[in-house]
Amino acid sequence: MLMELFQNGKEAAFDEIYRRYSQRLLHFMYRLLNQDESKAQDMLHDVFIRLVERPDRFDTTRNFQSWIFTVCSNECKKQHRSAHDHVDVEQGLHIGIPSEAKLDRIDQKGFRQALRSELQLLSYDHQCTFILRFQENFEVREVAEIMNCSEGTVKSRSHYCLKKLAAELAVYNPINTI
Amino acid sequence: MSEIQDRIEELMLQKSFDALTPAEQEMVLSVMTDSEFDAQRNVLLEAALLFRNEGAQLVPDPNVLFSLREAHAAKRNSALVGLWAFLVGFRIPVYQVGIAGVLLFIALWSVRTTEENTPAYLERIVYQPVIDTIQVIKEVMVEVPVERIVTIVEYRDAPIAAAMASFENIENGITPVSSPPNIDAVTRSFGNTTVNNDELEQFRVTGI
Repeated sequence: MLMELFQNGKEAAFDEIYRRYSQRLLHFMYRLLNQDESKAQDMLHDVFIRLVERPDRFDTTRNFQSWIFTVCSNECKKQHRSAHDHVDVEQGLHIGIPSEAKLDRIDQKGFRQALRSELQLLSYDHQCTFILRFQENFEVREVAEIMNCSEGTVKSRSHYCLKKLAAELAVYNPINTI
Repeated sequence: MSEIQDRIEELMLQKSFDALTPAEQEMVLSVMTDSEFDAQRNVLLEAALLFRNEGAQLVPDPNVLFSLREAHAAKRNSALVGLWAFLVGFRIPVYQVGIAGVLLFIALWSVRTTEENTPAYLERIVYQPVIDTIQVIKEVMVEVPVERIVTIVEYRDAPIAAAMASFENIENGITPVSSPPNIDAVTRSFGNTTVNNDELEQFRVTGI
């Protein structure tokens, strides 16, 4: 609806779209771009610029939320494939994982840092699935639409991520505060 | 199997392994150990906290929206400029312009001619009298004597009354003379004669 208005030249509709989705998309891309905020801000700008320049590319019969997240996901995937990002991920890994000597002083904060690093070590598809599922709280069906795969694949990836992260972070033995 | 995994995922977000019902524990244990359940549950909960905290701190740069609005305005303007540039910069051969001009002239001329030949229909109310009587004009010919012949026979011995009898009364225009004419004036006349002018004047018809 908003996109139809925007396609018809209503500038206020664009402002509303930006207000609704910009923060979520920024967070989503921030996570997929190895928590590089400036890069995520640039990517957010690029995505919306494309929306401004070619609003007709959006099929109004589709769900706009799924579509815009698909666009962002694809853009992040391009970035993720570059060798530079791969190095950053490796650096993040070294920063995030504590040495054996510090294991006894692990607390909740350390666990979150490790979780953040471990998320970056996942493959792009697993990482994206996990973020869409548990950060953006999309349904399995919606994640499948965004990632252009089957629901079974989404479930499989989701379970794999949980199992993998739990296994990698088991050494921290986090304090269960829940 | 997938349904069990989905159910276990829901349970992970709700309670620890120890808080599960025996049936739920049995279901979980058919897939994983209790420690694995708690470890995965911890990952989910910590991830949710991590995402929530980080998300609250991330705010889109205000310059992004400003830049987007500028880009939107520029795109609108460029669309108008682009159309104008296209129209101005459009190049076609001169002969095509000439042909187009001639065709346009012919088209306008034919339209104008058609308009001239087309009668103008004006709506007007016309009151037409309806005559329901027939008038027959009958021409009546009226013969009016302008001259009359009076024959007077003089009888020496006849009385004056005989002369009076021969006096013709034409139509009703002449009233017979009540008194006998003056014999003395016509006693010697033997031909055509006239009556008095005064009497004839009343029968004068003009314009015939």
